[in-house]
Amino acid sequence: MALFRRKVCKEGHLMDPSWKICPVCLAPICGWLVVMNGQFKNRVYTIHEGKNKIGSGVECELRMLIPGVLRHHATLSSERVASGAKGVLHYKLINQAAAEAESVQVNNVPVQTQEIIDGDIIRLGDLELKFKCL
Amino acid sequence: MKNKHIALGLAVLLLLAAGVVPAQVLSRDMHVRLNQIISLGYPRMTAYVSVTDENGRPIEVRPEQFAVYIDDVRVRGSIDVKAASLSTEGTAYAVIISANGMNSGPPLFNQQFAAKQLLDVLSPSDVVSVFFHGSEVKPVFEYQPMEAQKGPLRAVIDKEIEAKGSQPQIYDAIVKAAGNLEKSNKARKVIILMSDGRDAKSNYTQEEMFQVIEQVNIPVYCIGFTAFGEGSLDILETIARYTGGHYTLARDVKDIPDAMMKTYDQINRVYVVSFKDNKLFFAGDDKPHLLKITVEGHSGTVQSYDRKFIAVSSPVPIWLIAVAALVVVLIVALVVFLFILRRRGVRRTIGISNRKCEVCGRRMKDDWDECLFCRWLPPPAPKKKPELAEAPKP
Repeated sequence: MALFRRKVCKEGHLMDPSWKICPVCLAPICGWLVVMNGQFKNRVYTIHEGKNKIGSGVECELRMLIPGVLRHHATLSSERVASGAKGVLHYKLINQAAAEAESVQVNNVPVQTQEIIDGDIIRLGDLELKFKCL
Repeated sequence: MKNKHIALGLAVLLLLAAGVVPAQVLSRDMHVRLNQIISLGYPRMTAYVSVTDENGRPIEVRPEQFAVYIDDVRVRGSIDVKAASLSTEGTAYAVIISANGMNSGPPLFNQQFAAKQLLDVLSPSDVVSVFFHGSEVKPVFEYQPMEAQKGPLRAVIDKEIEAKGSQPQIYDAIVKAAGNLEKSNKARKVIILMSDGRDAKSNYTQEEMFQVIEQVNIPVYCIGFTAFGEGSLDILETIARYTGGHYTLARDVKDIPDAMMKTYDQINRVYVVSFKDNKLFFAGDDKPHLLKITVEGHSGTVQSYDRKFIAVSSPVPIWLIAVAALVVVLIVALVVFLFILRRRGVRRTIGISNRKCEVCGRRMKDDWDECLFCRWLPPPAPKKKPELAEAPKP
């Protein structure tokens, strides 16, 4: 029944059956999200350059199977803006749960779209995460 | 000048005679005989064919000289011909000794000697059963493999067989030997009957015996001898001819062992012709069909021999094969369908509809601004052109 098994990479990203390598993991690591409370405290999620969907859904790059986290809760995008030799990474958090305006907070402030920096505390429902960038 | 023309004409005539006369002799001498047909795996069949001269001596022919016809339709495809002596499968022999009171003394002694002589020459892969009939048909031993010690078997032949009774039963003996051989797992089976042809007490008639032999398809090789009077040697010739075997006459009872060796030679120096009927593998109908094997002589003349065989049907009925094939096809189709469905489901879940990268051809998620493979994977290295060898400097 291996024929019908879902193909996932080492980091748990769901892959298309035709892919031989995970396109998310191909991108360089640019930061981490660390769980600060609850039973999954200290769990670390790796952020790769590009768009990172955060949620409990199987299609999310940062899949958090934690109560209170919606299927597609937020998107964390990291984009390199040309500056210097390699450019500088800018991180932006976008609230995807439009119906629940206060479900995404950065440093206890509800946001729709917000640029974040190293050390910011992100709250998704009851879950508290600390953002660490590279 | 006239003499020169006559000499030339004579030379031409001599040359023609040299070419034609031996060919006529050869074609007249060649006898083709179908000893046994094995059609259990129909349409794959095996036939044992003897090609002899008129003295019964085997003649060597090339495989391409054989042609096979089934119901007068020539068999297409390859026909494999090899010598039976090269086969390692072995043969199941049943030897019948006439031990009625009239054959006591030298006739019985020579039959026993012939049977023991046969044991000595058989190959390790052969199996042998020996029967004798005096007042009734009795086995001396059955299914004895020739890879074992032959000494004890020789002793049993001497010890167990005694001449008694005056009512020989060759038909019963043949039927019993045929029933015994039918249980053997060897493909080739042969009965060797040593007898004076007299039958007085058989439960089976000659016709019934022929029916049994036709069903089991075993050739009977007969060695005829006469101890007193004429005997009924014609019967032995009829049995041999009808069953595909060969009849050998021992003019004197002392010649029985020699006749046995000649018979053994005839059994082994045959051609094993393997072929496949043009029909499908489940075309067997359990009905008799006519197999004809022809052998083309060196002069172009053709000798043939035909014999009926049963086109044994497959043990599995055709409708069951068809249903099984249909079920297998349906299961494969279902698995393929489920596999495709599953892939589509996975793709839909991770947000892939039908988008592919124009550069690398890989599938892309709908929300990707660009192909991540093209962005992050290093471009493939260009293929190196083979360096041309430098031209030598003048």
